[in-house]
Amino acid sequence: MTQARRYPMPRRLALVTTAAVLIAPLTILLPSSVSPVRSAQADIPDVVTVMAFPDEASMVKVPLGGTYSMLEVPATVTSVGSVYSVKVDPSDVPAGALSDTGVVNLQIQVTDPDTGGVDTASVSLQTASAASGKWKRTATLSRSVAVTSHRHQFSTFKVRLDPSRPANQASRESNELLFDRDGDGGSDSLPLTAGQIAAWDEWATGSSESDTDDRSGAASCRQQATTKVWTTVGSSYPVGGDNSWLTYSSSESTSTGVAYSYGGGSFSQEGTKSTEDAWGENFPKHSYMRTYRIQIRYRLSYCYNIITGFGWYQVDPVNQTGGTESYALSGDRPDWSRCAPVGEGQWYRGVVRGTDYSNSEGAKIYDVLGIYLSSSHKYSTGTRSYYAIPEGGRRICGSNDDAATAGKIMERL
Amino acid sequence: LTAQPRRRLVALGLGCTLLLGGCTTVAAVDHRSHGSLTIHGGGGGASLAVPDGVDQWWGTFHVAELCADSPVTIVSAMPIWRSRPQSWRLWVRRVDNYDVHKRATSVLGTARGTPPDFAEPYAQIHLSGKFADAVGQTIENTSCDIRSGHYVELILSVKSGSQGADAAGVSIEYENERGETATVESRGWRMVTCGSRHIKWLCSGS
Repeated sequence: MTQARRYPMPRRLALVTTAAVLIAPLTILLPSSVSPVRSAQADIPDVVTVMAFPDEASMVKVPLGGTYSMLEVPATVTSVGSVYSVKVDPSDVPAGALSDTGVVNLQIQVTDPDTGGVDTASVSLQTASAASGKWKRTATLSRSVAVTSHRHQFSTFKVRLDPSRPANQASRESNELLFDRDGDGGSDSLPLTAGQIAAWDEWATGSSESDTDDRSGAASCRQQATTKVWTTVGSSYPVGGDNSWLTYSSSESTSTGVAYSYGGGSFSQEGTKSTEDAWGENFPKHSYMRTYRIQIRYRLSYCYNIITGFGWYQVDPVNQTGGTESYALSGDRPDWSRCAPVGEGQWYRGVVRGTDYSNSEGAKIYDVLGIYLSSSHKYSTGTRSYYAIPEGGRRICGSNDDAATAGKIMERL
Repeated sequence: LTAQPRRRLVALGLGCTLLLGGCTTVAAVDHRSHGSLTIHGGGGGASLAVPDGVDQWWGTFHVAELCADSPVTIVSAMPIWRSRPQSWRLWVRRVDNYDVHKRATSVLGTARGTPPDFAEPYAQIHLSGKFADAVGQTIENTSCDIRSGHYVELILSVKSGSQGADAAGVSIEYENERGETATVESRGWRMVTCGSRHIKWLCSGS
C-alpha cells in the first residue's frame, strides 16, 4: 500500500483510519486529536489534527534553532464540505498550553491523504475559568474562523479548511526529507526572496544541537528565525485641535495573524494567535490622527505533523517586547456616519463590550513575509481610547456601530 | 451545532405575601429567552464639564439602546451610583424615522441640559424623537439595529451641584406579557458630571 509507505503513520492512526473507512457513510465523531472526517470523494478519510501551541511562557524559552512540540488536544470534529466544526472541552486542554489567564492558542490541520493536500488554521480561545469547563470568548475571530455558540457558553467553533489547496506531493516529500534527514529546516522550499530572508532579525545557523527528536506531541517544530513586528492596536481621529490618546494594557491579549506555507507555496494568513503580558503604556495626548503600535516578536518555524508526516512553515507571534510607537496618519479622515453628539468633557471607549479594535493589515510584517497580517485588541479597563471634547461639543462616530460599541472611533465637528 | 437559545427562568424568590393576600413571583429571565429586555450598552464612558457661571446644572447621557423580543414594561429603573447627584431622571427616547444614509446623528452621546427641549441657557443641542419617563414605558418588539430606522434609547439626566456625580450603569426591572418580572443591569458605561469630587482621569487633562 503506497499510502502507508508515503506516510509514517503510527499504529493508532492506522486503526482509527481503518475504522473510519468501515463506517465511512456516517458522520464520524471521535473524541480524539486525530479525527478522520468523511471526505466526499476520497477513499481514505481526511485526517484532522487538533493541537495547541505551548503557552507563551514556554514559547519564549525556545532558543533560535531549538525545537518545540505542538501539544495534542482531544477534540470532536465534524465536517460539512470544507467547513470543519471543532468541539473542544476546555478541561481537555493540556496544562502546558494554558496561560495564567486561561488563553490557549489552538491549531487545526486537515490532511487529505489521497491528494497529499493539507490546510491549517489557528484560533485563540480563553477559558472562563479552569473549573467552569466553559470558554470565555474568542480572543479574536478571523476570516476563516467563526464561533457558532453563544459567547460565554460555546465550545464549538467552525473553521473553513481546504486540504486540496497545496496538493504538492513532490514538495511535500522533499520537506519531509529535509526535515527528517538534514535537520536544516528545509530552507530550499521556503517561499521568501533573498531580500525578505535578509530582513529577518536573526536566523538559526547550522543544524540544531538542541533537537531532541521530541515526538511526544502532535507536531514537532523547529524555530528558524525571529523578527520584531510593529503591530497596530488602536487609532485616534481627533478633529479641530482636540486631544485624543490611548492607554494600552497588554493584560487583555492582543491577537495577530498566523501565516502558513506548504510545499513551497507562498505564505497566507489562516487565523490568529494571542500574546499577552503585564505591561502597559499611556500614550501622550495629541491632536493629530495617528495609530498606536506595539512591538511583537514573530518567529518562523518549520513544523512536522508526527501523525501524517506532513511538513509546513508557520509564522506566528511569540510575545510582546514592550516596545511602543505612535504613527501619525496623513490623508483623508474616515467617513464613519454613525455619530452621537457629545458635550464638553471627555469621552472614552473601554471595557470589553462591543467590538474589539481590529486591523486586517495591523501586523507590519510585509518586509520579511511579503504579506501583512491582521491584528486586534480588546478594549478594557486598561485599554481605553479617549477624546477630549471642547466647549460647544462635537460628534463621536463609530466605524461599525455606535461609537460606544464600535471597534474604531472618530471625532467629528 | 449552535447552542439553541434556551428559555431559562431562575426563581430568585417565590413568596406569598399573606398580608396582601397574593403571591408574587420574582424571576430573572434569561436575556435570550422570549419576553425579555436586552440592554445594548457600550463599553467605556463619558464625562461632562461644568458649564460656566452656574451653581447647579443638568447633564444628560446616553445609557444604552433597549430591545425586546416581545413587549415588556419597565417597572422601575435606577442608576447605579458611585457618587450621588442632587436629582436625576431616566428617560426613554423613541426614534422612528432615523435615516442612517443621511449621516444624521443617531443616538445621544452627552449633552448639557435636559430633555425633551434642552431649554437651559447652557444647553446647546436639539434632539429629535419622543421622550418619556422610563418607568411605565412599554418597549415593543424592537431591534437593536438602529439601521432599521426605529430604536429606543435609554437616557439619564443628572442634576449636579459643585460636587458632581458619577453613575456606573443602570438597573432596570421590567415585566413581560406573561407577568414575569426580571432585572437587567448595564454596567459597562460610566457617566460622570464633573465637579469637586473630580475623577481625575475622566474630568481633567483635556
